[in-house]
Amino acid sequence: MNTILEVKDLSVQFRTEEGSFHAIEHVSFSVQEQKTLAIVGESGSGKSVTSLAIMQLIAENGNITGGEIFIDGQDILKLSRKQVQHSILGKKISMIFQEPMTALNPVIRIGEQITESILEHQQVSKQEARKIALDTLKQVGIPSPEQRMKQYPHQLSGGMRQRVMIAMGLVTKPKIMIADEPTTALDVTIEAQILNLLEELKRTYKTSILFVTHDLNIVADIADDVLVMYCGEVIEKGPVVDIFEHPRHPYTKGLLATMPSLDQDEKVLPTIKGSVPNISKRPQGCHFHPRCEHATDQCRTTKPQTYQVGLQTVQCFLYAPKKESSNA
Amino acid sequence: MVKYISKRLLVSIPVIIGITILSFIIMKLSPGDPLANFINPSINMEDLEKSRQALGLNDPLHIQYVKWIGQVIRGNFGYTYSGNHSIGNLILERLPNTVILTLSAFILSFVVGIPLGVIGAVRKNTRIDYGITLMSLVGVAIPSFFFGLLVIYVFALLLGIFPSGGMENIRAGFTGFAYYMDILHHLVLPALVLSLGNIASVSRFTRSNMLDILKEDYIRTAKAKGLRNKAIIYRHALRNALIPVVTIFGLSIPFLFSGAYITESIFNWPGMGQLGIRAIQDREYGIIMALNLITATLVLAGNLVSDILYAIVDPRIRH
Repeated sequence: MNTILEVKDLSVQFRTEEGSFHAIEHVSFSVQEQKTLAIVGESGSGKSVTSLAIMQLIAENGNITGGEIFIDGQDILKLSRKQVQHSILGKKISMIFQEPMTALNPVIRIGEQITESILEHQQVSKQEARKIALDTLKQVGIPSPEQRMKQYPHQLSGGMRQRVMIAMGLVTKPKIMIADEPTTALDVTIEAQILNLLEELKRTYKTSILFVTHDLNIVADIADDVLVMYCGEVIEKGPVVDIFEHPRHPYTKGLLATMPSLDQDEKVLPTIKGSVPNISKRPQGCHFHPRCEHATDQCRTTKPQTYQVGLQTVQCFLYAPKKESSNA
Repeated sequence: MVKYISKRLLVSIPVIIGITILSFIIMKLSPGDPLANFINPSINMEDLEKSRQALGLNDPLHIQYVKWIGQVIRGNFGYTYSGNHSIGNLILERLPNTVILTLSAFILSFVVGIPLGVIGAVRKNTRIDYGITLMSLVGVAIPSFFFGLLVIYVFALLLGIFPSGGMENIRAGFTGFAYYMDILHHLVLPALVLSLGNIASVSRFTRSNMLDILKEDYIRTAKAKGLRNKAIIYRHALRNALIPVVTIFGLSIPFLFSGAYITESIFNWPGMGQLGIRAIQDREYGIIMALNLITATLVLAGNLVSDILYAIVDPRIRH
């Protein structure tokens, strides 16, 4: 099985008026061919920064301070801006954004917005590009695509626009697609349709998906692997079944416990006490320790390493191999 | 669209009527006597009173107004007090010259202003951007009568590459292509002076719009598609940034027309502005009212053109 996307030790720093802070630190993961990896985390956990960093789209005051990003075997951080534009973005990797309302250009017809991607990355004539665009629009379930091609984004509903975004991401048949909370702005019924569509397209287009979300129900539905982020760090990752059945990190356990379920008869939803600290006020040691009921003195001063537990990796001292000798 | 335009045109009618009433009343209220120029020791006061009667200056105001409007509708705007020339003809002789000057300044302000704004936005906070900002600031701040004298001094007197005034070289007697080139040669300096302030405001406006647009989500989408910088800036950003600039399109027409008063005087350009200034000195109320009316109608037309253009460039309004 080929690795399509591999991120190694990625760190991103932002300069603010209060100083420079790392939004994400030493993030590593990989996405295999035709698999879906979900990045889960609360707001401020660094999940969006991670996906934007891969697309080289982080804001002006941020920059990648370390690490490597391999897309289809190529370290894109070693390429020039032009090379990345020309041979990576939109060609090998594409991205669907959260807000279909604002992510499409309001003054350019749908057709042109889709075909320009094809014309930029493939050696085809305008007619061929138009045909590819029409086929893709059909694939994403847009009725009467010929007519839609001539329309402007404001003439389409939110769900339709997100389908157009997906079509735009797929026209160049990329190896991997990043979907940053693509259904957050949509109705629940539309959400289900879009998720099914993504699932289906993943198979037809043989593409991998990096799915960024805070919604655990979606993760359970579509992901093969899960990456849990907290305060800019990966605290747990593993196959979706293992994570859902045996969450290891106290934070992951807490997250899963907050999922409401039909067969539980609880009056009050469980929550994780406290909130994600601001980027400038991240605690020492394990970032989660102030909210963790298992926290020890060690957690307050030292950052835990990553430990392997079955198929999962966890960043928590609870899973450190017991040192028999020190007890003696 | 047709419905929208015809509605706007219908609404303009009462506004134009209002404008005629206002410019008429303002002229009538202003001090001074149009016949004061004719008073000299040898004139008979009775004769003066007779010509006053003949010119209709003794009629009640509403009769004068109706008479005037009758003339306006016929496109004549009445006759001058001295010489009894048709004001309509006087204006018509000069209108093309003013249109040449204003139109050149208009084109210049957008052809130069928009690219300057785009460069400033794309190279935000670089030396180029600061340079353009400084130029715009100077352009807005410097009064045109001073800037006019400055360019005459530098380009006409010191360097001698452009004529200092007038519209054509009468002595040379050019014909055909050479005649038009001669006019163009005379046009450069006045058009530059007239457009300077507009270039500055168009470039500032374009720059700030571009900066806003470059932060939009759809620009991020365009970047994620791996488009070239040129496509991102011109196809995706500029198309959106120009929508509000279109507003200045219409509004700058009357601005340039009134600016032409000063510029035409500096460069001795035989246009309506020159006519207007002479009319003010001679108390030729008929001419002043006519020019007022034309300028006010231009403001109205400019606004209408802006709104229509707005609807054309922004599909969200069109549909």
